Amino acid sequence: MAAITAPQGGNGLGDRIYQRLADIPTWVLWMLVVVWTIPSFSLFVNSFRNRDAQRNDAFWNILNERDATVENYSDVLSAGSTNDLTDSIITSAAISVPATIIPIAFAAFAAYGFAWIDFKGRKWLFIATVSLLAIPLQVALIPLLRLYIGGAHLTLPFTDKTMTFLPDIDLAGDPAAVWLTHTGFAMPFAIFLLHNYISQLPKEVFESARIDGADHFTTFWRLVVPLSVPALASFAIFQFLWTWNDYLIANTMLDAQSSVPTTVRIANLAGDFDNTDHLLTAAAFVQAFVPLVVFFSMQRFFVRGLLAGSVKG
Amino acid sequence: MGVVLTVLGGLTAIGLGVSAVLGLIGLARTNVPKFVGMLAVAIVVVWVAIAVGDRGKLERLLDMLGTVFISVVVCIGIWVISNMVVSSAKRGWPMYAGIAGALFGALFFGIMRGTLSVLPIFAAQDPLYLFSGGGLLGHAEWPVIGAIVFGAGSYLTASIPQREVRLAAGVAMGAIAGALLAWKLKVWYYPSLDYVAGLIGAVVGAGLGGVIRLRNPIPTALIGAAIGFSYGAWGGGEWTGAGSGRWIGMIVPMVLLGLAIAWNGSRGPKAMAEFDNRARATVFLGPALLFLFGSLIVPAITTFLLSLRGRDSVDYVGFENYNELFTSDQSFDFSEWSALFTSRLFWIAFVLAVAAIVIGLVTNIRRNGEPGFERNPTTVGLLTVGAFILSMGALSVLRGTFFNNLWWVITVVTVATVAGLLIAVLADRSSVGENAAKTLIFMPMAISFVGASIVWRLQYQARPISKNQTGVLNAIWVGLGKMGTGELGLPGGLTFRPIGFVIFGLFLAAALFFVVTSKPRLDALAGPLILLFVAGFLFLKIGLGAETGSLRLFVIVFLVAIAAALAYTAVTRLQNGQAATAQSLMFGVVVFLAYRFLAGAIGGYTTSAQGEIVPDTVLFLTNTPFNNIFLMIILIWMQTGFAMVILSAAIKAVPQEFIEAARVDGATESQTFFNVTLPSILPTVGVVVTTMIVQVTKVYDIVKVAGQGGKFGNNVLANEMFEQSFSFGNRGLGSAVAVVMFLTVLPVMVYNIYNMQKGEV
Repeated sequence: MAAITAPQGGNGLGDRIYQRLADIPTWVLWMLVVVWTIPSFSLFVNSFRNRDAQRNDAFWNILNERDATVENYSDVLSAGSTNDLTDSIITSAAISVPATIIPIAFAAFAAYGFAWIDFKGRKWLFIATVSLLAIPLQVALIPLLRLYIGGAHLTLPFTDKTMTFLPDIDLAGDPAAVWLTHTGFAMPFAIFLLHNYISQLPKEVFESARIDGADHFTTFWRLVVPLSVPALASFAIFQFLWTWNDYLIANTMLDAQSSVPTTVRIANLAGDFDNTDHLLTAAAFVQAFVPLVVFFSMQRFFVRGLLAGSVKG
Repeated sequence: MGVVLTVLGGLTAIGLGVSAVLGLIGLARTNVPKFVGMLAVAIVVVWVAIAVGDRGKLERLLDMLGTVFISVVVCIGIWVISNMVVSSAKRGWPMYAGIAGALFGALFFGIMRGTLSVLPIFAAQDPLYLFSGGGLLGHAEWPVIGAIVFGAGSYLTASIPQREVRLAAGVAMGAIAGALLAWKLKVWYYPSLDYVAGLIGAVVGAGLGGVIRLRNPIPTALIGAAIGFSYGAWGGGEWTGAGSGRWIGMIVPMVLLGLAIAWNGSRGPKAMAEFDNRARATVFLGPALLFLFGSLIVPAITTFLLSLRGRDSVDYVGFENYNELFTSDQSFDFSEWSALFTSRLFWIAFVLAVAAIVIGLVTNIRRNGEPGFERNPTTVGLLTVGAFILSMGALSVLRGTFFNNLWWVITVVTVATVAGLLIAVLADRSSVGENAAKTLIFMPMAISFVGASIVWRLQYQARPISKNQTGVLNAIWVGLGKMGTGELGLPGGLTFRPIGFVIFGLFLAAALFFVVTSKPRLDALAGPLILLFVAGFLFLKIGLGAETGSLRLFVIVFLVAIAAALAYTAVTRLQNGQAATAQSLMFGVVVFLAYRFLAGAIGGYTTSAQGEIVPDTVLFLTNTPFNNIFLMIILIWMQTGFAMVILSAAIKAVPQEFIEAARVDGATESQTFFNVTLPSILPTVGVVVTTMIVQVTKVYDIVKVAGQGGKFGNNVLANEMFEQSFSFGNRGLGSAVAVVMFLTVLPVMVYNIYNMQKGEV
């Protein structure tokens, strides 16, 4: 299409419109956007078609059918129906809310400690912490599952005795098992991200606080937290989406009988081909509703988190 | 009425919770409330829907809120209390010692009395209580006693200036604590201690403890001795209920501990400041390090140890699991390798490579007059594309989990990075809606892998050819196939629909407008022709309801017309001494399409047993090996936005002067891009590529949900790990897969972390 180039000069209405129309990059870009959007759009359209319609024809036939319906949505959202998703929405929230707040808090403490408390071996401890980013989730899954449903025991060397460090706290099927796992896995990334920000805060702020007699606790609470809100928000969004959308950890830690989060629930529905396929459309959008709200309202912070933390493992 | 009350109560609870958390972490002062507001609205909407629907759900929700609230408050509360304890040292050392001692005592006695957890080895799953058991708070008075003994003792020892008296007080505190523990020990655990082992343990422990802090070794050495003595004496002894060692076994280590507490006494201001730093470092880093240790370091080591054991994690099998993993033909399957030389991909790659070499040799001779190979964008580009296609071909015949993973990494990383770069460049140049376009491309990043898999299952759905296709891609593809095989002919039996005329009119107007305003130049005719093509097609299809055979005729005629226009343009440009690469390429594509339409083979078709070409569906997700590619497209769809956002930021950061300088020197757009922009963003491209390699190596959800668990020759490592560990109950092999995954991503992560750290620390 490089053949079509804008004629030089001329600023009449026709010329200006022509230049707009002959702007090849825009055309190509928007063609790609259409290609990128059609998959989600087609699912969205299908979520308003009933079972028979979905099973008979492709999505654009909604124009011929004239019987758009919200019954898929009411089916997955009304309590009591067999495909009710509300329980798993609650579970999703019970996982991702603590899995967002607690890592933020702990990582902010640690990031401040690494950045502004002077102690021996600080540099090496920090490098060791960040190096833990290299450990993939999968490596820790089996032992963590054993820990949550069996406790932690160690046979003491040279003796015939076994010591129990943690009794069996029976977290099988409990959302706590999932958010505890998320908290541990978020830690290296969160510390890295927040340390980047907190260590760049101006030194004078801390010196004057020190002179005024503030200890580390006061400095952290009164100065660092308010000043670090952008970084905290970036991480919060990143972590919230990560935990809300997680499938692997939830699928490992929670068994199918007990209540599972939305991702696992939908994946299970997807395995049940014929009967519930038409509900998947609505279910997928119900699941994606919260992430999309977060995404569209907080895109700036999300991008910042992504740019800073393009290393999360 | 009751429902209304619960609704109000729940709303208040949510409001209180949100504002309490926000107030705590200071978010409320910024523009974050917009987000929180929207999230709260979303939650409330969902919540009200639930509340209206079912009372039981409501209780579950409130229950959940309560649990979350308690978890958060406990986690942060412990931290705040620890800080307050450290702060109390400012009001005098004895005060601090007393508070810290009381907390320690309460915890220590609580654990000892409640769930002391030393078990005989063969009862590992069934805790036996040395004391009365009943949980941490089983005997609420016991922590109180511990707090009094250790609190008062520590306070006293910290306030006494004379060392001898202080040590005596420490001994007394330890003796009381030890006697209390020994007194309450259950009869059937009375031990006969192994004193020799206890002595050895004490010496070793003291040595280790002293080494930790060489500047002031005595207290840590004493604690080490206490632990070592207990370890040796209790661990080596017999707990039969007959022995008489309980008094010595409890009192000796407690006295050593008391001595350690009493050794240093009160501290001067300088020591206090130093103490504050150390204690704060512990309190600030403690929670994070605890989690890192407990949920990353220890489990990773455990996984390695488990990978050396059998499927039930008991028998030691050495590297048998690794052996099984690497020799299985599920992992590496070379059996079809010779099919490479008959595959289309191989020959395309071959032709490209030959073309690149010929072009390189010819241009070199033309330019330099001597034989050699010229490296220029064309030759390097052709070779790169050839190598990529060759790897696709090779990986489509080399089957198995490991090759699939490699295939994923190569395809997704390459395509997503190139597409992201392309879109970033286009968005940078485009005049309309740059941000909107970027947002829409980026949006799949916010959806879960499961959601994306559901989205794409709809695209890939396949139904028997006799029925309408519900899958979007098959609907288009089979439509093309039907059109390509339909009987050529003029439309008959038409039905008129007004909407078709409207669409036709719009496109016609656009095409005419294009022609009129572009001060007709021949090379601009292809654009209007394409518009007319779309217009006519939609008119025939929607407006007249034409059937496939006549559509096919129309398409062929128009393709020929477009090809003619392009050919004419290319020839004219060449005669004027202009380049005509784009026109020639498009001419080739259009002629090829026209040929396929004419020869009756395009889109979804198959050759039947009678040798006829008939339309057919494509089983995107089950046809091995290219079902792998269709799964990869899902991840590409998601990751391109990531690459685009990061590369777009990098492109915008390239100094404008560089680009203008290049333009002034007469560089074309593509020269500017390849010689100025691309080299400056290369480090960022490196970050994107390495990050994606790590992400793609761990791909799991897509294969599980869209790929039906890797049953159709599309297995990958992460899925294999999950299946082995949790479906087939072979934790040894599962752990071995996990370890291999770790080793695979390790070099990339090391490189990444090294890069991250370069500007740091």
